[in-house]
Amino acid sequence: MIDTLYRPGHSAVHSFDCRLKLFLLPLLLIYFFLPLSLPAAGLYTACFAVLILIYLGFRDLLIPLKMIFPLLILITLITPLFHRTGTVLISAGDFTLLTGRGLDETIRYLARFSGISFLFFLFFRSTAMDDILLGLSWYRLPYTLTLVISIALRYIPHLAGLYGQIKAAHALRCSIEDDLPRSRGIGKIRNLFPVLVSLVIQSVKTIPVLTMALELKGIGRSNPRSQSRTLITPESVRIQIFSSLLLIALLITNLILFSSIK
Amino acid sequence: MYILYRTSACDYNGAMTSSPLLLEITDYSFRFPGYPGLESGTLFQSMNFCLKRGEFRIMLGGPESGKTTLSRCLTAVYPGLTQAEVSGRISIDGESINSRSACDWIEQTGIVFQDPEEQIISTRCDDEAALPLESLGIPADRITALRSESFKHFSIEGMEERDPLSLSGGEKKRLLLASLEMQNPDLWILDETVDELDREGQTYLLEYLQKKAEQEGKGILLLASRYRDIYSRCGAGLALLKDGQILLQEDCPGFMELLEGEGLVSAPEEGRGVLPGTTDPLLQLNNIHFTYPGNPDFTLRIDALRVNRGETLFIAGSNGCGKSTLARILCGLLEPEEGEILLNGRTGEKDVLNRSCAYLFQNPDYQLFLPSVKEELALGLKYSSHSKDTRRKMVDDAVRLFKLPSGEAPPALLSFGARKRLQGAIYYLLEKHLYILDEADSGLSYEDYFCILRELKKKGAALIVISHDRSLRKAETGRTVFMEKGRIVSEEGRV
Repeated sequence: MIDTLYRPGHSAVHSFDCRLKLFLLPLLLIYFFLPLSLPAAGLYTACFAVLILIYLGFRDLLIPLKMIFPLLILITLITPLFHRTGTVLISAGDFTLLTGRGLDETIRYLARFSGISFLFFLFFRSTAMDDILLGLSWYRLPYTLTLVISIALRYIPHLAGLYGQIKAAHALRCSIEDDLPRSRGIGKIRNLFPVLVSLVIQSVKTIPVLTMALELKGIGRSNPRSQSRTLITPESVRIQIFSSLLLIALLITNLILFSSIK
Repeated sequence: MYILYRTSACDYNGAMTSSPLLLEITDYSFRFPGYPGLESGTLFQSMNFCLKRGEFRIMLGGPESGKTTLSRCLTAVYPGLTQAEVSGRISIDGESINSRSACDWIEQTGIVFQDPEEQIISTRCDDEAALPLESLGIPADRITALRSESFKHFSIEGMEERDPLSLSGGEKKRLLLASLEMQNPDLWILDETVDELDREGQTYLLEYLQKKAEQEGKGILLLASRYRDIYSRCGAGLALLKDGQILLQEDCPGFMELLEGEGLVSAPEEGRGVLPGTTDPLLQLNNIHFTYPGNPDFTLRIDALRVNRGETLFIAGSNGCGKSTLARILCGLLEPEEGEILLNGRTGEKDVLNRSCAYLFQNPDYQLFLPSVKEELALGLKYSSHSKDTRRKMVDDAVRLFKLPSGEAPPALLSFGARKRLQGAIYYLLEKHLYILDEADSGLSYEDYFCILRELKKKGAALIVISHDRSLRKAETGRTVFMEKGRIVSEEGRV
């Protein structure tokens, strides 16, 4: 019923303490929305791409990009139309298609959106969902709230897994001699609809079943809960804390030096 | 001839008359609301049943008899959101089950679902097993001790950190059994739990449950859709859920004939020799190597495997040995890292394998997603050369042949058995070289299972049957391949 992006491993990002990751995650996320110059914003995004490349590998770098690919195209097509001041770069007759400002903003949005995807992918790929739950509990969040957060976070990867299953099931629903339409261009998009409809039906179906499963595990009882497992503090936690503080200092310096607000 | 007796609440003389009563169902009726295409039938009608402490009862029932609904009523999750009409009383230790929420009953009653994936909510096996005890506030060191013991009992030690969804179907059930043992409620409800367990696991489970009942005074209710020989050796009492009533073995002379009449007892001669296989190779696998990303503990290595045209090949092996993985590779759903797959002597590309092979998933819900039975059946015929009228007729025939409630019925609301039959009907309408039935017998009566098998066999294609039921192997196959730890270890029989 529930699936995650997590893959076990022994890399530095895997062994980084989950509580520190949870502390850094919102800070790193907010940083994407701060007024950085374009090269600085690009560099910031590139850092996450490099981290994925080093610690998780090239294949994993493509996964978040594949997930957001349609949205990146949409951003590229639409953003220039909302920023039409500055030097005209491309026009069709009297209609301005792309200006210098439009190009800047498009690149900024692409960098921001890709960077956020890389950041979250890095976090979820290297952190077990149950460790996230334990980490949130360590910050004294009530269990019910951490459970809701955890289920909400798991739901999206679960849908991705379900999508794969449904796609596979659809692929087998044809006979040897069937005249299947070519799945290119519009045909490919059209073929996507039955899979998406199926996905919606299946995901809605899981809601009452999940409710039952939670009740049968005793979620909702009024007595105090216990916790069978606690997060193991890594031996290098001091180095990790120091690195985290250093990272924050570096980001603040970067912001002061390369802010886009003059 | 046999006479049917209706049990009134606790009027039978079981072996443990002196044992205190644990579960009592009195005059219980249950009726789901109707939906377009699915009539609102009364599932239970003034049902009566008792289970004493120390009693282990196996309740048999065909598909749609209401086993899963009953199991859920006994854990207080039903009627819940179902909007069903309910009357009568279910009580545990004299207290009405409606007096508390399901979460407040977990000390008294616990369940293993028929589909384990519906019950699993954690991403680590140890966390999944510990959840009910954490809810009860049991100290961590006690949970750890219990977990280590239970994981050993159900042979899943060493899998503590694994993602439960990466386990095989049988291993998932073992995990939920370990979790239930840790929870250790007074009343154990096991919905088709024997299915998908390997033979060793089935024997162990039945002996274990019998001991649990006798030594700890637990009440155990195992729901099953088929009578198995091993049931006669475990000392459990039998019951039959039929027409909304529960019939006890001790109250029904000719109980076994009654089970046979319901198609719940194996008929080994059925289906034998329907179509002989050939020695003409259809599929050949050479030096296949496959590992799941993120799970280096399991590797599938198949040096050589041949499936002949028209033959029925049985794949046997313990839980987690790689049977389903092999099946998915054969269908082109998984791509091996190394090795070659030849279909009709040519390299089998993914697309070609998809078209040529049908795979009845262990879990039918992976394949059913459209709003009505008719739409599910018609989907596969969309690109066929048949005319609209022919397609409509084929769909209607399939509904009748596979005993589906109606073409308009919503698949999501059908029973597990009916959903499995629908899965069979979908592939019956498709022309394939090979049909793979992965634990397709799970949750089905013998009658329904043989119905699917017989119809698919008539098409003359090759069949691969994956099952833990030996009687199916004897009845339906010419050749058996035995797997162990991702490898084929032996082969017996001839085409």
